[in-house]
Amino acid sequence: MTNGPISRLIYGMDGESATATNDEFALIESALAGDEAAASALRTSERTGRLESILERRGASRTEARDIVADLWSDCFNTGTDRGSLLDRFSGKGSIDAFLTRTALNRLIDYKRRQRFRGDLPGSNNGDGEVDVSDRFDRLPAEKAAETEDSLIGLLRESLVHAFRNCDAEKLVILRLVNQHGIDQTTVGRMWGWSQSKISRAISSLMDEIRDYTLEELQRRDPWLDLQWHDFVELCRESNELFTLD
Amino acid sequence: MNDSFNILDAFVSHFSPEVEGRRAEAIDSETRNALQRLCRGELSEAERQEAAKVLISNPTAMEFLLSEISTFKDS
Repeated sequence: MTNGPISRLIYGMDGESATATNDEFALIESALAGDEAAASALRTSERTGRLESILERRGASRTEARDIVADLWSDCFNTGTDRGSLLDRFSGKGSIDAFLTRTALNRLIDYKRRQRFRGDLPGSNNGDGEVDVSDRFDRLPAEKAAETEDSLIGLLRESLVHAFRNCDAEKLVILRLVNQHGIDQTTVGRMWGWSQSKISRAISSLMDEIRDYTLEELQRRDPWLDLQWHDFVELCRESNELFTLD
Repeated sequence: MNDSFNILDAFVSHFSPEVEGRRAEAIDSETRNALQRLCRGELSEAERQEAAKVLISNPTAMEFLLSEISTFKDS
């Protein structure tokens, strides 16, 4: 992972390494082995504050941010359950800070969705003609023990797929020909019977279409999430790098 | 701007490979003919739109078109 704008914008970290260092891994191993000093070195107030700040900038209330980060730290060092420690799932792709930030964002998305779902659930009839709403949440299927799906990636993916499926197919082909396959705009213009300037405008308008459809779907799915287009693209870029860092 | 597109396209490719547009299937002679005509600038607007849907949904069709473009430019 590079130390690009997303690291500063989303993660708020300057000068961060692309992948976990041996020191970080050693620290994590010591912490998981019960070394309190190592755990404290990971769980710094600076990290806590930064994570809370990131969540608040993305739509969490102050209380929600504090609760999510507190749970996150608790799970990092919780080795006594079937789930094991959250840190066991840190692969070293990207830094520990990026891992914690992504996990915190995922949990925020999950929390907000459960919150909304809870509000949408119908209450049960208690037999006296009254609707009992108190057990709404209890009747939901139990949350999976492990965080098996990355909610953030799922959200980005679904929004983007919506955009790609709805944007103009011709323009999409033109952009792929020019941008990915290096076919010059004059050649593509000849194929389409369009001037080069029309090809150029088609490419430009397609990017506007993709942006608008994506943000529209994002807003529909998670209206509370304050994600700008630049954030979205950079999160996708960071995700691509996580995918290819082997 | 175009770099953004590459990022987004790669993201879909990585995380949603099942999306239509990622299925490599053999193309029939009718499609080959249409793509050759597209290369020569002979398709109507309606035909171009149909061809575009095929090109998005089938990488084999895109590979064929790229091959035709290369051949056409060299001839």
